[in-house]
Amino acid sequence: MKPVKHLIYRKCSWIKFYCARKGLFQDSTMDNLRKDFLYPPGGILIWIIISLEVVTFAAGLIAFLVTGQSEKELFALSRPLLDRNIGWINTIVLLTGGLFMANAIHSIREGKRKSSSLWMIAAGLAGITFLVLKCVEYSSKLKGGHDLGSDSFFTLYWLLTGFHFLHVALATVILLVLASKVQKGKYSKKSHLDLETAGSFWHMCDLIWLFIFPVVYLLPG
Amino acid sequence: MKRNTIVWLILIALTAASVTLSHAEFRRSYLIAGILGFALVKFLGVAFQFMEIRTAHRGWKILLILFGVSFTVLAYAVSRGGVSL
Repeated sequence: MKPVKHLIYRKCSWIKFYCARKGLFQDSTMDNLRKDFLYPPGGILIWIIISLEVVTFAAGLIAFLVTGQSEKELFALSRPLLDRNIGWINTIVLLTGGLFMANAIHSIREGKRKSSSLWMIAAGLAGITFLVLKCVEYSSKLKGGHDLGSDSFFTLYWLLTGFHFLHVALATVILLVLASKVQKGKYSKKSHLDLETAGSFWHMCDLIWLFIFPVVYLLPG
Repeated sequence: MKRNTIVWLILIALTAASVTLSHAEFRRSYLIAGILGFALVKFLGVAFQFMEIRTAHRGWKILLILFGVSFTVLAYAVSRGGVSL
């Protein structure tokens, strides 16, 4: 009996997932669904991606710190070359974008499409600001001759911040595309799981940066 | 939305505190603990409030707290030279 029960449960899970995506549940049913391990905010698939991404970046940051221990002098000389001001401004920009995205989800749940779309555009603009500031930082590093192959500090700096940059760029594009879809009325109070999924991806960029910034820019050499 | 704004203000304050701490002249181990501790609180703040993990199954809350604390402790140990891989 056990395998049959398990199969039925799995099939029901997919039915529940389909209904949630189509907005076929009542609000109270959605609230109950969230208490299920398989239905975290934004859906299980995005959380599998988030888990993998966060663990990968964490491994990269530990590698950065371990290399810093074996090349203490190089790291002590290189860390002050990074622009901390751009670093903390970018942290505030990403956190503000996170607030805007959280407000966008809150608005669509209340059925306020226009407000939700405006919050998402604001979050997208925060993403663009982050990317522009990062480009300014990168260009000053390149002018100073600190490229990917300069030394182990800058190799790890470029890899960690570069991959994060790509994630923010992708998240920004997704937010702006979804904002236009919200304006066109493709999402509603009951059917907006895609927005929650995009929001989770955006906040993942926040999460990763919240550890990159202190480890790469702030820790004493 | 009000709750989101309050959490955002706390996150901004913690960012300012960690940048200020990085310029301060304390014992190195205190600086590392402080900077990583603030980062952990911010990580959990974003996850629980903005990502709404506080409304999710208990398993997700435990997983995120375990991950955040493990990473912070490992990063602290490596930064102090206590762990070499």
